[in-house]
Amino acid sequence: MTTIDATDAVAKRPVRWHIAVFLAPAVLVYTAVMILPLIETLRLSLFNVVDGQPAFVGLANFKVLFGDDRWAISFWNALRNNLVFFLIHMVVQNPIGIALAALLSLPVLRLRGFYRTAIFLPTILSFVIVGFIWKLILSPIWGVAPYLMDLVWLKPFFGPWLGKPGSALITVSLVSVWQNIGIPMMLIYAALLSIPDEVIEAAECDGVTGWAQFFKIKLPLILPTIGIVSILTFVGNFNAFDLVYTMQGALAGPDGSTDILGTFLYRTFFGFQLQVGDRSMGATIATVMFLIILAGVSLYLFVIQRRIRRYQF
Amino acid sequence: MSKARSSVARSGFVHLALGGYTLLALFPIFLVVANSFKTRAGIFSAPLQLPECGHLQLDRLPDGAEAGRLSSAISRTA
Repeated sequence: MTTIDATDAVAKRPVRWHIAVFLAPAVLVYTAVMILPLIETLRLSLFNVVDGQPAFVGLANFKVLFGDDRWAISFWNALRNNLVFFLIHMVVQNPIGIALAALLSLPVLRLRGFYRTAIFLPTILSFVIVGFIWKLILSPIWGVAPYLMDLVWLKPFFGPWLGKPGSALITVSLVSVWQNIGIPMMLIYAALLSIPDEVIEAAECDGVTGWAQFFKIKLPLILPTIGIVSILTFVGNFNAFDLVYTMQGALAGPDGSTDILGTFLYRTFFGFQLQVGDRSMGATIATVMFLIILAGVSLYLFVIQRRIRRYQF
Repeated sequence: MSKARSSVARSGFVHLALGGYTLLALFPIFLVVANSFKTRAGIFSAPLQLPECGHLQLDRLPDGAEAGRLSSAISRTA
């Protein structure tokens, strides 16, 4: 009986064409500009040129990337640099972003709008402007950074940071932090503002104020947002390319010390100076980047996000 | 009394932290904008100096003396 009722209900419901019609433009455009190129890249990574003819080679490209020393050294170097790049963002950008958001969301604060706008300004600048101006500020020849450090008696500690293999990656990462800090700040600021006043008042009645209130009440409530910010940072960092390209060029010098996966992919795919572009190996690197990001996002979605406790009011 | 003083100290600390970061955020942008009004020699000899009224180099901006030449400057770069 129940099955008959169910089929009856399905038959009565009219076909809802408007859903398909409204979804169609977005699906078509997204498929044309995102999904098809992605599939084409994944396909290209399984092909290579054999005897002047494109041929299916299976996983041979990946074997070359991980097994051939000329490729493997560059690849692991880029991956290690990318990890350091990501860790510096997680350790510097997100805590400072949280701290700035916590200060901005204090109940009585004058000039709140000014601070919020000023701290968000670097985020709306172009990568090219940010890269060039920081390159010039840190340049020992133009002399802005040495002069400013001289004012506070720190000049002996100045060095050509972008030119030393040991410090170039950290410097570029910090410039990227300077530029991108507005995004975690805004997301967490919004999350802090959405905490209901009753919760804060109840905490104050119980004598929980100041630092204790932040760490015991507010931080657990914004933990889901911090998770989203972390995964956005992860995806953004492993796709990063433009800031390194504008500050250190496609060779990501000195001596490949700022080479991240994006610049490595760029040089491989399009070629640079004496290096000839190689579409198959470029697609292979792009596929590996895709898999790394997919693995990171899956780890977050299926393992970490399920364990974050959410509170509802 | 002591509570009022501590709240002044607290808001002072908050403004110090936010103001300090605001300086860090705005300084490079200030440098870009200020130097866009200077001559090439001025940019390299005194990068931190404000552009002087007498030597305002408006023609530095789009590589043309007036706004009328802006379009030709843009078409040249394109």
